[in-house]
Amino acid sequence: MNISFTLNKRKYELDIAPSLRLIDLLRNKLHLTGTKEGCGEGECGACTVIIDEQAVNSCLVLAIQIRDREVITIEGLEENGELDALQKAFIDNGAVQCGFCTPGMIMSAKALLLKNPHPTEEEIRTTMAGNLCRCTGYVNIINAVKQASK
Amino acid sequence: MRKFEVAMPSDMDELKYYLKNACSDTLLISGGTDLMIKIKNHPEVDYKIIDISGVKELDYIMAEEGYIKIGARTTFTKIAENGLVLKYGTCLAEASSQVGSNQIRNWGTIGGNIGNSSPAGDLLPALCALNARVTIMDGHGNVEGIPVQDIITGIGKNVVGHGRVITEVSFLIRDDSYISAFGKIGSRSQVTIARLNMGIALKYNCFHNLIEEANVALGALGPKVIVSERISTILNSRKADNKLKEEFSAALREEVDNAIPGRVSQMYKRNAIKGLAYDVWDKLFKERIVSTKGEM
Repeated sequence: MNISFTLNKRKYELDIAPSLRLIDLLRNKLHLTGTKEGCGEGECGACTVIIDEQAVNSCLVLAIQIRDREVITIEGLEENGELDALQKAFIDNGAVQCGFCTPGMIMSAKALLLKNPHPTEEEIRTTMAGNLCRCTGYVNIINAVKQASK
Repeated sequence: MRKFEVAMPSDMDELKYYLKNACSDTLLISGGTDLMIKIKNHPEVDYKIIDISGVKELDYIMAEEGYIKIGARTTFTKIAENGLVLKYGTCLAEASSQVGSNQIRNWGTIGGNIGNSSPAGDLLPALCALNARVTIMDGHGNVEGIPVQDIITGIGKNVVGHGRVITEVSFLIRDDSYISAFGKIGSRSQVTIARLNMGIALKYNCFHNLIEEANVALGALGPKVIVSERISTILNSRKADNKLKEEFSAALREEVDNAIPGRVSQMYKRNAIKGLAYDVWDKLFKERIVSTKGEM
């Protein structure tokens, strides 16, 4: 099925199998492996991408559903070789251990900051409650988002 | 090899066309946050799907002809943040804000929540408390309005039927004397499936601290939402004081006992509902003006 969409500011027109999930399109077809699959059921948030400025679990989206939409993945945050403020903040605050949850965490936070540039800690915690981390204990992640929001 | 066919209507006319030609096993996908999990867990099944995510005409919230009208494609996030819903359907806004995670709320829709017909569906008790109606359309454009409490017939089952789609949910706009609240208990404080949930809508005279009408709906207590006329009767024409709060809590416990006698979860739920009762009561009354000092 032919669809058009924008991904990381680049326009695409592709023939996509109707059963293909968005996460599989990104990772397997487009080789954008920054987005991770944790649970495949929308529980862990590792697969979070931004669709039309909203954080969404890419494991729960059929790829054809992004037709005429704008998608951003973790790879799309960097500009001209410069890391996004959130990415830098995650590094500065030791918010990355194994790194598996990190792309999803950053994309959730990015979507939050696009909508609310100065969230409270409560708002950060509520917004990112759908992103699980088994390593860090979340404190450094919250601090990273706070730093990026200043 | 599995067959997986998807139709992608881009407007209502195309949607009607695909509905007219739908088979008895054709499924509808709106956001897909429920269906995609089923698809993943059943890779052996053939699927015929109509994807309505591109039908923008079904994505709206408006006040019209004395009703708040919400298109079936409207996401939980949009409902939770909408000024009209917050004002005239507070319990629905609260329910929408507590569905799943932020990511789920950004993609899942009210039509999908009703169509999935889960016993723990968070929007269902809130919609029942508001006496909301669901509009269903077939492939010829014929529409039917059904009260939300009559939509669900069992676990994952409803009256929508093949070749039809939920297009809208609506509820009456009432004056400021009408208040509502939603509460939910799950295994976690957030991102949790409800083990109990409740929607309550009242006509409340804040000058006399008097409940003049009540509508109470309980979810996650059986295949369908329980709309408790008994509890409504207990609350009607009563002062919202601590005595009534305790009667309300006790009556909810009885509803649990009546709904799930002998079930493994009965003991937990008959105690947990007390906490839910208190939470919802405080949401409704804690900050409202009372006429008699100390009654709250």
